[in-house]
Amino acid sequence: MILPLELCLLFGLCLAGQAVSVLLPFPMPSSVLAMAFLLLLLQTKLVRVEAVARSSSFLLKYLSLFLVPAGVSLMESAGLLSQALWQLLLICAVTTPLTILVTYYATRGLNALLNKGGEKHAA
Amino acid sequence: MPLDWLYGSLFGVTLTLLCYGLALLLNKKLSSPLANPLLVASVLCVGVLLALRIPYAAYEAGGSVVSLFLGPATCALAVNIHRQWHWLRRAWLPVLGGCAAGSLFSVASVYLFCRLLQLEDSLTFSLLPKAVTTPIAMELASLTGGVPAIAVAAVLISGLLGSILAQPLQKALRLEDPVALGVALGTASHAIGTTKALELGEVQGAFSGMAIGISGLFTSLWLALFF
Repeated sequence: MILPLELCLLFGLCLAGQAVSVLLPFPMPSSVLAMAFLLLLLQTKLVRVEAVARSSSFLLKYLSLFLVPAGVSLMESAGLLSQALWQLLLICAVTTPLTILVTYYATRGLNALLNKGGEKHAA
Repeated sequence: MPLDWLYGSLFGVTLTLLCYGLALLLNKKLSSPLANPLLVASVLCVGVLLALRIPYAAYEAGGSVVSLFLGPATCALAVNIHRQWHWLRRAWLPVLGGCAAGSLFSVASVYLFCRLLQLEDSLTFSLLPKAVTTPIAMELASLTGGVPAIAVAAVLISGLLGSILAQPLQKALRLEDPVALGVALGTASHAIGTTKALELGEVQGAFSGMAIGISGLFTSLWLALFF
């Protein structure tokens, strides 16, 4: 697909995600819905993966660029942040690696459990 | 007003691109995890604004243009999931289970710590969604009575920590399962962890990208159930 249409599809899906997210009774971010929509389009072969390859590889390669404004916005809440900075750092420093480990071993454990169950559950 | 041009979108976009570009160059020169492009670029931007006494309001218009691409970029993660579908078909239960367990652990452990440190409720509720991606965390924080800006800080710190600690943890504990490592990085450190996971490999990156969305959903569920 030509690049403007690739981008149009991605932005359009985000717009659709916003429309759906206001209808849902629980908080669901529009970009996550947009991701689900694109996955659905790709899986049902309504959109070929080559058709969004260029724009998606660019967007994913520089994903962190799009987060820079959120980082800069912190200077606005510097006062509030400095009041609780060490608590915040401590909490993040302890819980983040632990969350990585808990998730890793939970995923791995479930995987091992399923493989032990053998091919009976393959269907 | 002679400085009106500063308050348009062009200033913020230019400054962001400049700082990010320089941060990428620095990241190539030094391969230290602290040379994280997001961290360096944010610090550079803030440094420029403070040094030149430019108010944040002047940056905001351009900043929101750049953040606009966060939506399509998150959407594009579907391409990675699609390419790794054959993995997910074999591992959907471990992936869902891992995300559910990881996000429950994250919310519960943060809550426990906040109570131990006797933090105010507004801070506690800002920190609870710290493992999920920025737009979800901000929304969850404001829905539960937290401060969205503090949530952004906690999300960034968690992302950076996950990205910095990923390789040392992997080496020390020999976390060799690419699927589980991807799920873990996406669950604990959202998009920043996913950037790291993409560096480690395509499988890790795809599962990490999947985990951002799935864990965001589970975190919303846990918060809705318990608070």
